[in-house]
Amino acid sequence: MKTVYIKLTVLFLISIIPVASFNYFIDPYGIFNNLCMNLWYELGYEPNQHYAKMRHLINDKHSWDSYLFGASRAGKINPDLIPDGNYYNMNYSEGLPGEHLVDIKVLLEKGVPLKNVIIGLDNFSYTMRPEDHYDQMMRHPYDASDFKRYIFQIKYLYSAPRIGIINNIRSKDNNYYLINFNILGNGMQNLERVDKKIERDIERHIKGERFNKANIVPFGKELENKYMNMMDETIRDIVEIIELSKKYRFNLYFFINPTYYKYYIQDNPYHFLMLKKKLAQITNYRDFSGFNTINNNSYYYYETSHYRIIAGDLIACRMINCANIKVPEDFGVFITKENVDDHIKKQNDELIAYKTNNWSTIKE
Amino acid sequence: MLFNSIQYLIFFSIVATVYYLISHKYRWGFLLVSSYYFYMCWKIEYVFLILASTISVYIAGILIEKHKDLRVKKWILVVTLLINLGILFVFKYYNFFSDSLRTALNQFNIFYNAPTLKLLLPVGISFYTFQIISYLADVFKGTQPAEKHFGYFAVFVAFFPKLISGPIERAKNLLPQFHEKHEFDYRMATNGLKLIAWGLFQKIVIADRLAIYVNQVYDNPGQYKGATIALATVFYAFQVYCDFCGYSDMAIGSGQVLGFRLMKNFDRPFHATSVSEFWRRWHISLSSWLNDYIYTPILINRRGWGKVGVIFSMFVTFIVCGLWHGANWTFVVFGLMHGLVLSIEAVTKNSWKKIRKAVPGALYNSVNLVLTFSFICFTFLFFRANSISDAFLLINNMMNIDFTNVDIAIPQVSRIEFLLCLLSIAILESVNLVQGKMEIRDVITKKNFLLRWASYSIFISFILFFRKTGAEFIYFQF
Repeated sequence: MKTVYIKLTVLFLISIIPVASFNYFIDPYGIFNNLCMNLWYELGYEPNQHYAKMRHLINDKHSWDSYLFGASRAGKINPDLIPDGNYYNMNYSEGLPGEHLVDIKVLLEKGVPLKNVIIGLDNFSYTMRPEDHYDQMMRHPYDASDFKRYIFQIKYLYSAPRIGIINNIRSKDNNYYLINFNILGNGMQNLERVDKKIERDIERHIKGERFNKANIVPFGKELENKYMNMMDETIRDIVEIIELSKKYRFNLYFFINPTYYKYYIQDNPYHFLMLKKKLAQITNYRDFSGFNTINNNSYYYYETSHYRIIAGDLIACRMINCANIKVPEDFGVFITKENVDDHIKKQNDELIAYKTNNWSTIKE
Repeated sequence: MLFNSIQYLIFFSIVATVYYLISHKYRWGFLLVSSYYFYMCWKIEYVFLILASTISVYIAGILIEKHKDLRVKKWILVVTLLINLGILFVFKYYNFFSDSLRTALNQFNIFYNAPTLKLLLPVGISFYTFQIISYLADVFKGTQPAEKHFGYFAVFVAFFPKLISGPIERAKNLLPQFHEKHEFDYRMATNGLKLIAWGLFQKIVIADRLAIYVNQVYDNPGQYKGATIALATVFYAFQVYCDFCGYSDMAIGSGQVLGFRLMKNFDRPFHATSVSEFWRRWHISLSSWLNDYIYTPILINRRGWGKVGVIFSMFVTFIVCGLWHGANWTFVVFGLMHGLVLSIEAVTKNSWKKIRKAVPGALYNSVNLVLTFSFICFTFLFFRANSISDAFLLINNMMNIDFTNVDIAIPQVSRIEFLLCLLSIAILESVNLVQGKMEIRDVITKKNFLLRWASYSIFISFILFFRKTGAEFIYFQF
């Protein structure tokens, strides 16, 4: 029996070499930061941005002192537009407040300077559990503990290789959503090629099929395990971030990301209003979501969930009140404890009006 | 705890090591604790269900054997069957029958509002219930002595390799093996490990890869047409085969490592040239169970009916077969279709023999193989569809073929993944073809060290490299 165990171990170690080599050298999730990393990013294959960006910030402590946290939507905001600090766009797929809290703690622990923090919230900020990302190679966070990181790296080494990356090399020129994740730059997503494509035929883009319906899962309908009510936990995390900002004296700002109005109306907007109400009790913020000049116009969107970089520029400008770009008045309302009820009533009335006017479409 | 998980690898390594280290007299106890732990990994509470079934059948078996009066024996049998089938009915079929009754009564303006039970289906309940029914029936018939040792009987019911998805073992084959003392047999253990590796390949390389294409098409039945649906249906046939056969191979392999010989569950079913042959090759433990405990008893009971008796027995058997797979009308239709074709085959047996003599053998077999495979795929369409209306929508859309634009690509499956789907099916069928002529494991074992190790490591590397992860086994739901 001992022989069987020895043989099996040797056989396993030999057999794992191709997989481990692929994951180490090709490194499709960017965990080992090897030579190929930037090449893959340019191919539009999303690595584990969360892990790679945190590692980058910890290794390069002198380039940045301010951070824009958020999910992929916030990746369209140019951090260079924001004054009073060297901003790095710390967006990553499905970024959640609970994860931002841990990231801020890790950055503080590792001695990374922290002057300003901006956090972008989303409709899913309170419907997902950060713990679930531990099972996903693309979203596994960066652990402060070296031991936990080594364990994750071993797991990554023998994980199923992401062979689809080869397909991206082949379809490089036809990929509509070709994104450069720019991790070693300022962290902002580069969608130059997509934008050029849109600008070449704006009419086609505006009337595109992708805007006919929202690409979301209705709250509580499907994927119950993934989408759940985490509002209290989210608020608790945000309170803790606020306390950290006071303790370590960094500036903290919040805003709510916009989505195309069809996405907004389909994803339980009433629940979203509850978050807005609770959030206003603990901090001021800018609300870019809901019906407004930008969100009602598909020109400002790549698809219903992600706004374009031109909309990201408007968000940045509204946040800093810049003078050189004109931002529509109704885009990015400043919310405080005092005006939150009026704001919610207004958004609620807009929803009722929309429902009344579009009843047949909603029923469909 | 799935067979294709790290947890199972650790669990099984510990069980196998400890099993061979301890004395034979403690092994049943150790296997029982391990099997219950394995089962409790899904839901702790459900261990009480399996325990209740085990105790009731254990006592009933002894009582049936002890009593001489046939009427008393029958009573014990019926009551025990009612207890165990009752548990199965409540957990698996109550909501289905209740909903169907409600829908039917609503047609006559009778409003019946029975509550819906929110119960999670205990994994493997259909498998172990059928196993204990066969034991009880065999004891009743006198072909199987009742097991007096409760421990051996409990581990026979709960033996972890076959607990969740079979094979549905017979007492005659498995029970005596718990009494035997198993010494570590190097050859049997390594053969078992090879079978586990092959099962793993079928599950995580083929079935889970095909599932992406199949799920996309079947979960959006209105979106796809013609060739895409046809291909998804063929893919589903291979998916369900690789999923279940992969599980069975891992179960049999796990048993072999521990020194147990579990029954074969699949024998290259897509090489069948008739539907009856298909059922002799597909889920053999279930089809032989249905034959022994449903079809044959009904046929004997209705022997005076002639051909009508055959057709009647066939339909009853395959309705049970359909319902065994799940509480849904899609499974009933699946069973009915098989019942119908098997009845036709049985009634026209002599005509087929004449045709066979008149036509060259190769041509006859090839045509029948294609026809059988097409029929099987068609019935799997009902098996996989989420509802009867979805199934008809899929059939309707499948007929709608645009020959000027045959596009089978779907955005969720990249070209590389699609090619891997085809390649993995090709590997599977090539192995099955060779396996029909010789035992591949023996051929590899006879090769020299270098060749043997090279082939093992290439195969394991292939599994590790091209695996898909995360999907449960389809047959768990049954």
